[in-house]
Amino acid sequence: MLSYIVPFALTLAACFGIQTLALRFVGGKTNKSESNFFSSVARIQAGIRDHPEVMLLGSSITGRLPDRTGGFEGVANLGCDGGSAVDTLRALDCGLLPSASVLVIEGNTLYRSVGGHQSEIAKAIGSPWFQVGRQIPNLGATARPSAFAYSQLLVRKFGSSLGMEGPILPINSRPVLASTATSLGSDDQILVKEMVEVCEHLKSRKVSLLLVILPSGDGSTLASRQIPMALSHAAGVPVWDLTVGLPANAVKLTDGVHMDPASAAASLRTIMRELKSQKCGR
Amino acid sequence: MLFNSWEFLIFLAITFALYYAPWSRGRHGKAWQVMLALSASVVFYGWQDPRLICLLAVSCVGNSFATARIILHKVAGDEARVKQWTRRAVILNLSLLGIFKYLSFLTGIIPFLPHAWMVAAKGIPLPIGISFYTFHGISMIVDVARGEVTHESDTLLTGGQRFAKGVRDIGFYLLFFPQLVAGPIVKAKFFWPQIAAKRIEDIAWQQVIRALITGYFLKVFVADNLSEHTAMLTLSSTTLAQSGPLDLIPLLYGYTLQIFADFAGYSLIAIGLAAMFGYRFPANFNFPYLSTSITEFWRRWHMSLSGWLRDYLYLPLGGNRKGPGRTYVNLFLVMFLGGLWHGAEWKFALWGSLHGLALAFERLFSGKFWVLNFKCWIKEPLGGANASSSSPFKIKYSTSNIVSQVIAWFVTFHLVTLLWLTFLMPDMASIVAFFKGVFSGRSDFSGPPIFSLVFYGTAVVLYHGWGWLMEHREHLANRLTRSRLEPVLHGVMLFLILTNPGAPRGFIYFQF
Repeated sequence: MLSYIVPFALTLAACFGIQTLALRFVGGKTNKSESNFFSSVARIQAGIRDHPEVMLLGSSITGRLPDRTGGFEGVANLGCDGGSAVDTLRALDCGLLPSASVLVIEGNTLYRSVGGHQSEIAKAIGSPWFQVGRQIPNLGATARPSAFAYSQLLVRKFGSSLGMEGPILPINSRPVLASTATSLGSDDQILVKEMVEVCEHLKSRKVSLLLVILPSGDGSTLASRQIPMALSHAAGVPVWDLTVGLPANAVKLTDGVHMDPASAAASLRTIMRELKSQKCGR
Repeated sequence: MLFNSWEFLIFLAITFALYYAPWSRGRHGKAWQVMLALSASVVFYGWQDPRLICLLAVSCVGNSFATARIILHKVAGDEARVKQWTRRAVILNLSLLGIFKYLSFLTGIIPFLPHAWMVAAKGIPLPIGISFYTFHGISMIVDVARGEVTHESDTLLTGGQRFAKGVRDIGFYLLFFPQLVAGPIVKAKFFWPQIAAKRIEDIAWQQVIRALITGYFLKVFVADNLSEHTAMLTLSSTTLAQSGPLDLIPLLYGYTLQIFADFAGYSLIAIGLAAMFGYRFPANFNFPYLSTSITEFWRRWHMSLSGWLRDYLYLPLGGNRKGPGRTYVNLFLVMFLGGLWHGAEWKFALWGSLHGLALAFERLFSGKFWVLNFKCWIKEPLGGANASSSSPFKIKYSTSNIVSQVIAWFVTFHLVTLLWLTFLMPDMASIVAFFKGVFSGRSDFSGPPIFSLVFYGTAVVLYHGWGWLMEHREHLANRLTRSRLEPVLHGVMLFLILTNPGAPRGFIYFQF
């Protein structure tokens, strides 16, 4: 039995050792897994580490935005593929995830959570293995060997992100408080009511909130605007529609829905510049 | 309870510790262990829905009572009564299966039924694992009737406590949790003689570790990851028709590898778990994707089911003893019913039927092929009977044999892969849409499926490579097994299992 256990244990230790070194080499987070589910979970598990100042909450549209691993200091991306900002807002409200001092909430896909719908990511955040992966990075979704391999493949194909210095979106609009109440269906109203409560809880914990409608192929439906506008009005949270006044070819979409890396970086720079100016009290 | 869940691991640890507790070595050790395993199996099964335990109880008590009557009449020499009770018990088991699994399907095809009946039938829940434990029940009944289960069966002859022990042991056979919900289907004559007190020092730990690590690796690392991508194959027909071949074909291959990894993984876990408790289960998969014919495929794939169908359906129907025509009918019928066993939908019947047709076709033409090959082999080499083994003639025949084997393997693998479409797709429209997409001429390609297919599918390819090595280079395979390679490989596999965090996904065969 010993002739089995010794090489077995040594191999296991060596694998974890190599993985730890690889995690350190990539700064604790792989860019993207080959799997949307694990990529989102990894994004969240990595995003909540080391006390970010700004958290980006949303769907896969948000997931395309760069963050601190892409040169945007203090920014963590918690975008959930197949989900919406509601998933992470609920988790923050319940204490399953720690919060940052500023939350940027993607409004495009809030409608996906109407009717009590819970995404796979939301279920994952509530599960024991998520918390284990949070405490032990080697067992987190970000540390999957396939994630390392796929990240390297993408870096070779698309290159790395562009950083804080660079162009912003050519728009003149700014965040506003939605002034008029929007007429919503009953299910939409239930969601908005729930989110108003969540926002109140977060604001009482001194968290600043900003709703944004990002440029995307999924941003032109009525639902993608009605709910964030209603939430802004009811909760007193500023909303910023980045598509208003945006020239037609200012943003490129890779698949008709999601921004390409350059457009995503420009969007985030625009948001960060506004947040910085708010902080400086302009 | 899923094998790949935290609650199962805790359940297993507690059950194992109690099973081999010090008092299990005493006079009543067997009783303790069997009762504990039976209770644990009931907890395991009822974890998600305790109401289903009632159904298990009906199956257990019904089969026990019938078994007792059969033994009684066998001892009395009354074969007519033996057959009568055997028929009754088989009908009981099939009735349970029919009501809970097929009633909704049947009401859908019987014309002029009141709508309320159809709605009521659709409301009947499908109890998990019913296909498996009813087959175990039938195996118990038939093996006892045939006199193939004899050792402990006398406990059922007398009433009272000894009868209760018999019920306990039969319940244990029917409900033993490693095999309860998705097999392997272990025949009663194979399992029954093993029921005895077990000692921890008798556990074949190397086999346990080998089975568990390989099983969890195939399930957690390979199947669950592939399933995230192959789920696209179950989207709407419109989406399929709008996809291109570079997306669809890799996904189909991915599903072929996934279903093997899922089911073989589960079977290996079941085998490993049973071995932890001192019970030997037969292998359920023997590297099926090495097959060079559909006949061979069914000798390697889900062997416990094909063995069950052979012993309890094909042979009683006459097998191949009633002429070629009847043989083809029997083959087709067995495969048709075998397909339907997987689910109460026409697509499963179609899948089974197509396999049945392929089996019949192979049987029809295999004789001629065999004669052709034999004639080639008995032909003398150019250099005469005493020519050396390196003569060009012999080399030519060796090469053509390898080529024909490769072609046979290629055709078989792709036929099996294509037939998985009928298994997976919800309806014919989806299958048509799949082929529309494949022949659409589109060249767009999404990326992740090919990467995932290669990354995760390679494990299944290597696994079959290992199988080929064991069959064709046994000496080398044994050397590798005895070397340090196995523990190193297991270390890597365990690492990949542990670093693949995710919500436990169900097993494909749980739905049957």
